[in-house]
Amino acid sequence: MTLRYIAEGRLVGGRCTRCGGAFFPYSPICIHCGGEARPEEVPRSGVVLSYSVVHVSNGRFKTPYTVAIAKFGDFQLPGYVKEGPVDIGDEVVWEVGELEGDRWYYFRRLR
Amino acid sequence: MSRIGRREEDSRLLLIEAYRELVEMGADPTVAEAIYVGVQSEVYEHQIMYGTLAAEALGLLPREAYRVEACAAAGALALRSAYMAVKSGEVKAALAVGVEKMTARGTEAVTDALMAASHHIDQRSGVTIPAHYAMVARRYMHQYGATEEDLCMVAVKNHRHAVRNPKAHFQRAITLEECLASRPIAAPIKLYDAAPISDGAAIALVASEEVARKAPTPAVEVVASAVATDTLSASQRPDLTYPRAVAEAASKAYGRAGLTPKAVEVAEVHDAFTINEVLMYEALGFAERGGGYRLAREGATSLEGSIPVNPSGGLKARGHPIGATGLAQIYELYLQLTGRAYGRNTGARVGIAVNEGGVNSAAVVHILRAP
Repeated sequence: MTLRYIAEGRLVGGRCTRCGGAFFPYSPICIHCGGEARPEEVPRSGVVLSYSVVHVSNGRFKTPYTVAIAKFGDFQLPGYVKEGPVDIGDEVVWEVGELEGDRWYYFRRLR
Repeated sequence: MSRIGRREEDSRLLLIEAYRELVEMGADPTVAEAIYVGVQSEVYEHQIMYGTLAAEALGLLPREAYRVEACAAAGALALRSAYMAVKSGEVKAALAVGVEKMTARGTEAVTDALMAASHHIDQRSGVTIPAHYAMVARRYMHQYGATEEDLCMVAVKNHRHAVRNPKAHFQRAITLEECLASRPIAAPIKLYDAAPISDGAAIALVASEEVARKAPTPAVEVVASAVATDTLSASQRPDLTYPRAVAEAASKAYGRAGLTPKAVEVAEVHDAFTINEVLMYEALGFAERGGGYRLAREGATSLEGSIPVNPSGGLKARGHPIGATGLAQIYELYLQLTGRAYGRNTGARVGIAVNEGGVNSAAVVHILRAP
């Protein structure tokens, strides 16, 4: 499901019809309370909650590289940061494109 | 428990080494009617069926035997399974087994095998397990004012403890400066903030009160056993710095034991990365939220402190053979509660163990009491 959305250039999270909770990626059952969830588009810009510069990878990613957890509206997402580094509180946007040979999403810092 | 470290032996021989010690201690493991084996990954030895492998290696065929898995929580889950099997009356005794042969593969393959513990969105975004903990650490430092030095204090303490543990992977002390200067793995996590890649095995014999009473060797009592879960990706948690599953499992365990955190006299906790030992202090109720880092700094959790944590050296210095770790913790508590921990006895009568898998995504808490 996530892959299909990403192929369309979209990031889609879940919004619970019972508790109102948000989560990513979309899945039909709310991960917070077990209620029914509906798909909802993830807003384009967000704020970095935390980050790390990775020096030891699994071999798929060229090191060093930056990853972050950022909050887009109510949705918290992990992601690769293109042209890192970033800091906590920095504004980022997500984009869909090529990442280490895959079509995937990544973050970019707003200058 | 086998000696932990970079070992030439495969899983089979590591299991036999741990089993031989159990027999030398005076236990009769052949009374076990079932065997539960905690193993993280089939990648290292290209092997599944570790239940059967263990039964065969230990000469215990055709007993019931199978694998349990929750990444690094597999070992304590094996104990949990054995505990439930005995408690239910289904068997009178069972073996809880943990083993991992990680050094059969290189660092990148190990990093990849461990990444399987996170959500696929993390995996595809390059968020390694150390990177996950690094983001937890960075956020914790931001929220509560802890420093990289505070985190390194945990590594220094655990290395100092392991000097007195002849089975530890690293039986040597390190300095704060060495830790701070060590190379980054996933900043701010450095090499000396991280548990090593280790091989090892550990086995516990779990028996009913009736069987244990007849045994020639002292038994400790499992007064509580509890498990809880949290999201695969730390990104989905309202507060990155709060290990909800550990707090939940600890709360259930304290409730079942009828004990408060104050009753605990020794703890073995899951310091896969130094930040996590600090989070465990808070989740176990030894410190308030945001105050855990001060405990290590003040020396409260060293061997001579008010609540010794990781007298074995912890995952950091005893070593971290993933599937065996939960039972390595139980092995240390057994030695502590029976006064067999030689140079590092705490004299404790109540001990707690926290073993977790993923990024505190599966938490297993056991409380043990001296005979």
